[in-house]
Amino acid sequence: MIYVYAISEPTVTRSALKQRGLGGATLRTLERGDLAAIYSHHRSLSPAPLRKLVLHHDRVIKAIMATGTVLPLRFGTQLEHEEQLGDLLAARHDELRRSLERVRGKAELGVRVIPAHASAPRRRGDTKGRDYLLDRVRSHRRHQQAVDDVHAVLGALSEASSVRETGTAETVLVAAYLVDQSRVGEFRLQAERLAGRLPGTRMIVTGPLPPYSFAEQQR
Amino acid sequence: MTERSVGLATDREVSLVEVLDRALGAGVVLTGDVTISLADVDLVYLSLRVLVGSVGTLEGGKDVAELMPGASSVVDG
Repeated sequence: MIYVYAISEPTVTRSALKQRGLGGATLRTLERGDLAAIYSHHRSLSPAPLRKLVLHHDRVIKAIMATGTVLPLRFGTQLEHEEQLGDLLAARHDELRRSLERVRGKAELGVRVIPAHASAPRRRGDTKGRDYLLDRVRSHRRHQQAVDDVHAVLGALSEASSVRETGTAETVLVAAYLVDQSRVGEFRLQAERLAGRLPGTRMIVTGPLPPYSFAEQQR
Repeated sequence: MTERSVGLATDREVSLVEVLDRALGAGVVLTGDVTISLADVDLVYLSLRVLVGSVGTLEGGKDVAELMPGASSVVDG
């Protein structure tokens, strides 16, 4: 069977393919017109901790990204043989070309804002339940407005963005941003500055990453 | 599993979650067989939850079948 990592263009250079695939397998490319898929041959997937396999998958994609535009595949794509892969590239050609253009020259940045500390337990003897709840709602709304503002500013620095989660006690904001590679530094600086608008939280910016969240056709 | 308060994961651990979350739940889906042990996947989800309390696509009742089309319960040895 073959394991597929990513879709790119035939200009993917030799240097990207020098990296080893899962289980030390050799990386290969399959070209169909102006598309190329990067894959490796396996009799079976070597057993290994799932986390290690997934991180290896990601490392391969990052190596390709260093040399050109790449559409990351979700982890776990196994096909019987190259012919199937070629057929899939042909069948989805136009959509895949559009996706490549969407992410060309851009990287993904993940922003995760979480509470800085474990939430404090409610004090015993809190009276006036209704007032307490109203206060919490008002505070939550102010807080949520600040979060929305942060997302709006970061979104304005991006070509595309998507909020995966917001408004819960545990995850203040979980969002993905597609940012032109020339603006990644500026994005990080702005994000750091904006983190100050959300007291009591920690902001972790991850990336630049391959554009997993923007690789599929946007609906 | 070591004791750890929710929300006190290191930045590095959170970034790891961000990568795993994406590689497992985002990216282009080509038709194919995903052969991963369900038990392995559950363990990954569990450890991710412990680290950051909730993990985007990995909570809210989404099951493995939704996240990985074609996932079977057989580990390809």
